[in-house]
Amino acid sequence: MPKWPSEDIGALYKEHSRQVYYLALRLLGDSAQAEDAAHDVFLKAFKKMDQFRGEANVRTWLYRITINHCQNLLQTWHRRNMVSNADDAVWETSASPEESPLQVLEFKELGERIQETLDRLPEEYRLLLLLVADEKMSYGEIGELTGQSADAVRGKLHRARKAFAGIFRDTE
Amino acid sequence: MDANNKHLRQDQQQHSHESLHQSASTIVQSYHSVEDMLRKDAEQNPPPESLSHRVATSATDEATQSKPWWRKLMGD
Repeated sequence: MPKWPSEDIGALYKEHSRQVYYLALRLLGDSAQAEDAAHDVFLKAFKKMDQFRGEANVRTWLYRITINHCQNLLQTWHRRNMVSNADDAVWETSASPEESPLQVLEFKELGERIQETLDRLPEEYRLLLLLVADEKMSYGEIGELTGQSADAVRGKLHRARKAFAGIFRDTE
Repeated sequence: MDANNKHLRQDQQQHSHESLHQSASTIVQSYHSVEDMLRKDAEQNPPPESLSHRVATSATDEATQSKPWWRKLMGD
């Protein structure tokens, strides 16, 4: 068990680390980079904890830091013309003990197709789908994060789902 | 004999690949929405164990560094 400097910080990590890590993983497409990004996001959050005034919920606040951090990383990589490779390490570490090797392979293939599909989607659609997959996020909160109204989110989500389904079929 | 074994292995690999492909398609069809699929994908990709230790260590270091010099001197 890690030793946290305070209970609050440990609780914050425990409550939100899965979602922050997953968002970083699918935005960056690389498990090692996602781990580094999630680490940096939590450190930034701890440093700025006194600036968090509760005007948004904590999850929204952490997502904002994650999105900004990942976008900065992606911009830097694109500037350097770096292309990330498919990352097998994600799948080697993620299997639950109760899953059979066949199921692990099934989810490996599924995850690769999801990543490929997300990579081919417009950035806005990719982000909307990843955020709405978090059941704790309302359309209003997603709108707040992406700078638009809840109605606009609803409309774009419909198009994002259609675009995802079309590209996903092509990856088969 | 070697050629037979090779064919057998290839058949087994192909069968395994086809089974996998069919199973993955079945899994995909079992989702009600894109979001459902992403939720399952998120379940399959938890943060690595090492992350919590890294974050805890860095947060502890940060907390130590941000103490005023006189508190560090007093051993607080």
